[in-house]
Parts: sequence; C-alpha cells; structure tokens
Amino acid sequence: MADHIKLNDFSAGYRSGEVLRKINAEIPRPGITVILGQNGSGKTTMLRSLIKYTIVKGGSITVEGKDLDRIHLSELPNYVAYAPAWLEDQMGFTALNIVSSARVSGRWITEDEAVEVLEYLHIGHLAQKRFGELSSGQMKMVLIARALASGAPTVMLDEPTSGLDISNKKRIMKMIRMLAERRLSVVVATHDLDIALISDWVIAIKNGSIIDSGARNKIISSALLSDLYDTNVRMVKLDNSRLTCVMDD
Amino acid sequence: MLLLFLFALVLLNLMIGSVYIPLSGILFPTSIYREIIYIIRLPEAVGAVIVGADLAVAGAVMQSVFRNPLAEPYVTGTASGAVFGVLVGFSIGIFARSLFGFALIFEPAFGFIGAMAATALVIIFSRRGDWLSLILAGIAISILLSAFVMLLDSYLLTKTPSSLSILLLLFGTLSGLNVNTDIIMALLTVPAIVYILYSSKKLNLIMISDEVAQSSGVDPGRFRLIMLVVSGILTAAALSFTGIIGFVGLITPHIIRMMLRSANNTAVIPLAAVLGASILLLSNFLSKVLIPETTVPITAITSILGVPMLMYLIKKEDYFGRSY
Repeated sequence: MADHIKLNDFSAGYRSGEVLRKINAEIPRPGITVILGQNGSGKTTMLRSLIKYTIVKGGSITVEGKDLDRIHLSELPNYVAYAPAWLEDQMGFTALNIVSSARVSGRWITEDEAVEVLEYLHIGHLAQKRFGELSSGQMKMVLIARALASGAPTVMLDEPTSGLDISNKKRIMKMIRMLAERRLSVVVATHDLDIALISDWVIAIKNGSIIDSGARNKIISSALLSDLYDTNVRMVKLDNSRLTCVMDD
Repeated sequence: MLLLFLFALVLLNLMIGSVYIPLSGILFPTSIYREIIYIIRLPEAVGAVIVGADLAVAGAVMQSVFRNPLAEPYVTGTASGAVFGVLVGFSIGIFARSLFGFALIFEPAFGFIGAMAATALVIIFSRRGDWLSLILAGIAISILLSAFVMLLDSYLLTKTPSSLSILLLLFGTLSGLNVNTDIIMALLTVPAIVYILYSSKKLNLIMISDEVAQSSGVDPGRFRLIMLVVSGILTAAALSFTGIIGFVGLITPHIIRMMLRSANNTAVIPLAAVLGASILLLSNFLSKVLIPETTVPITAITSILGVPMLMYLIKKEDYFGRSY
C-alpha cells in the first residue's frame, strides 16, 4: 500500500475558527481508511479539506504527490469523490439525476453510465424513484453510487452507516469492501466501530488533533478507543475469532 | 406539444384586442390589419414570449440557487428592485433624452442595478438555509420598494402627467411593448438563457448540495453569484418595459417538474421557458377579454392563476421533501 494522500502539519477550519490542528497523516491506496473521533472532533472537516471546502490555516495536503492547493477545482473530481452523510432534496430529483450529476475526466457522466453504476451496486430499480422518497439506506447507497460514478481513485464517505438497520448496514459495508477490492482508496468518517474493524488504516482524531494513526491491526485497541471517546470501550473476540467493541460501565 | 400550444396562443394574441382580426385576416392581412399586427400585436406577442420565458427561467434559477421551492423574482424582492431601478432609470432618461438618442437602455440598466441591490438586501436580511426567512425578507423588501415606487411614481406624474406608462409599471402590462423594446429585451435575454442552459448541470449540483458541488469541481459560492447576476439580468429585461408581473416565475418551473417528475434543470429550464411564454400569452389574452372594452392589469391574471398553485404547494407538504 503506497501513501496516496498525505497531510503535512495541516491545519484548517472555517470562518468561525480552526478545527484541525497540525494534522500529520497518510491515507493509503488501495484500502479502507477510517477516521474515528467524537462528534465535533474534526472528522467531517478532514474530509471537507480533501475537497478544498475548508479554509487552510497552515501546512499542506498532497494527493498522488501533487499539492492539493495546485490542483484546480475543476480537476478535483479526477482525484477525489465525496458522498455526504445526508442530502435534503426539496425539488424532486430522481436517484438517476443525482448519480448523473457526477463528473468524470472533465465531463458529465451520461445517464447510461449512471444506470450502469446503479446496476453494479444492485440498486438499478431505484433509478427513476425520487431521491426524497427513498429510505435512509437507499439514499446512502445512491450517494455512494454517485461518488463511485466519478471514477476517482479516492472515494470519501461521511457517516455511510448512520441511522441504518443491520441489514442495510451490512449492504453498505459490503459495498465499501467491494470498492476497496476495485483498488480504490475508500476514506470513511464514521462513529461505526464495525467499519473500523474491517478497515486497513485508522486515523483517530480528538479535538482536532491526531492521537494515533496507522495500520488498523497495529493501533486499534481498547485503550485507544477508550481514550478517543472518553469512555470505557473494550474490544472482545467473538467465537468466530472476529472482533467487536463493547461499552463498559 | 408545448410548442404547438405556444404557437396557438401567439395566433390568439394576434387576433384578439380592441379590434378583432379573424384568422384569415392574419394570413392575408389588409393594410389596416397589417398595421395593427406589425406595429401593435406582434411586438406585444413577441414581448410576451420573451417576458414569460425570462420570468420562468429566472424563477427556476432562483429556486435552484436558493434551494428554495418558493423563490422567484417576485417573491425574493428582485422584481420590486428592478421596477424601482427602472423608474430611477426612467427619471434619468427623461433628463438624458435630450442628450442621448438611446435613453431606452437606461431602464433595463437601472432595472438590473435595482434587482441586484434588492436581492443583496434580501440575502443579507435572511438566515442562510432558512427558506421561510428568505421569503419573509423578500416580502418586506418588496413592500418597502413598492412604497418607493409609488412615491417616485407620484412625483414623476407631476412632472410628466401624460406618461401613463409610469403608472402602468405598478400594475404590469404588455401594452408598452414595441419593436425597439423587444430588441433590447431579446439582446439581454438570449445570451442569458443560453448561458443558463449551458450551466444547467451545474445548477443541478448546487441544488443537490454545496459540498457535492465543490467535490464535483464547481465553486458553489461563485457559481451562485454568477447565477444570481444572470437571473437579475433576466428579471430586469422582463420587467423594464412591463412593470411587475408576479408568480410566473414561481409556478412555471413547478408545473414542469411535476410533469417531468424530475427536477433535472437540463430539461426543466428549456421547458419552463416555453411554458412561461405560453402562460404570459394566455394571461395577456385573458387580460383583454375578461372585462369587455378594457384591459385588466396582467399581474391580476397571473396572480389569480399563480396564487392557488402557491397555496397548493404550501399545503402539499411532501413536495418539499422529507423535513417539512
């Protein structure tokens, strides 16, 4: 796994103030990277920084060796794709409209290509449904389809499993694995420790600073999670030798 | 289908007026008919097409830009600002007419400045992302500017009492349109609508989400500003010679979205332009036949057509998506 994206002493935020402070981190490709942290710790800000949607206060980000600052906004879709945690559509776009709004290699994707992506993710039947009328799980899948449609080597997902039932969550997790198998770099900001446990790489953020980052099997531990969330979290091995996390009193 | 409807309405507008011209009279006009058609009715019908298309497209753009289903030039104060600007331009024009031969251009130019200033005020006084506060700020600014329009109107009438067109700006009418005004409107409208059509996919993006737009290579803040300026040009072009015409910008894009069952601007914008033109032609026709021997202000007709639609949209909660 090569370093695909690098953050070097990177600080960023919004007009209201700084959120990320002197972040040093790597994101490999291919693979699944999770960004963990409490609410307001800077997870989404980190994703937003990768789409140049924050105010840079210091340091730099390199993507495939290029300074993100030097990548023109119009070329950004060639490098990263982003699926927000949630979308509110008040106007009545169809799922197909949403996916068709993706850009690939400097052009808009065609409706046929959009249908292809939806079918690839087994949600072709949603194409003509109104986005606002979809269930939360279906919405998340359409947003992931949109990110995937751009063909960017890095796909960033913000809270892809929040508010989903177990079966929908399983589908999303399967989708995330599938993307990583396509040699993509999948960056997930999440509270969902189940996703953390299928990841390759972990970035743990607390109050805008990194407390640890690295290969998941090396760094993730009960101590790290407890420190990260300021509560006792214990990692437990299940019968089938898989790990899970439980909260302790 | 929509184009046929538009064509039929153009014919109807050529036929109906203080003098009835039969269809045969339009196909084979006598010299009097020819004069009525070419000097009065055709410029009026062409003007109606331009104004209707302008307002409908400006409405569709504003609804996308503000991500607000109730936005349109009339509701957001842009139209009142444009009319106020037009009156200021008209006043300057009165004095400048002796200096320049092309004073007609003052009206849309100042209309545009007024439209932009009013829109800026409304944005400043509304809360970001709150569609209701945008509408309330729009109504407040509209009322204030309408008051200024009335004051300026009264003043101008003391200076040029014969100029009925000043008073008509308050009500909205197509009767002031002629070949010259049509040419000016078309020169402003055609490039603006072509640019909007070219940008329709980007409009979809900012309607979806700012972050999504940014990640797709579109700077949402900059693009919004460009689109507001272009819709300000459309509003100024539409209202400079006609006065305030409400609700066409609101209802037309919604009707198209309902017909298409999609909000895709690539289809919504061109179809809204055609339907907007048709609605204005229909309103113009109705304004002439509703009360015999007089022409009703066209805003009365567009409001009667538009307000029930607005009420329906407010009541039909699911139309606004999941959270309302």
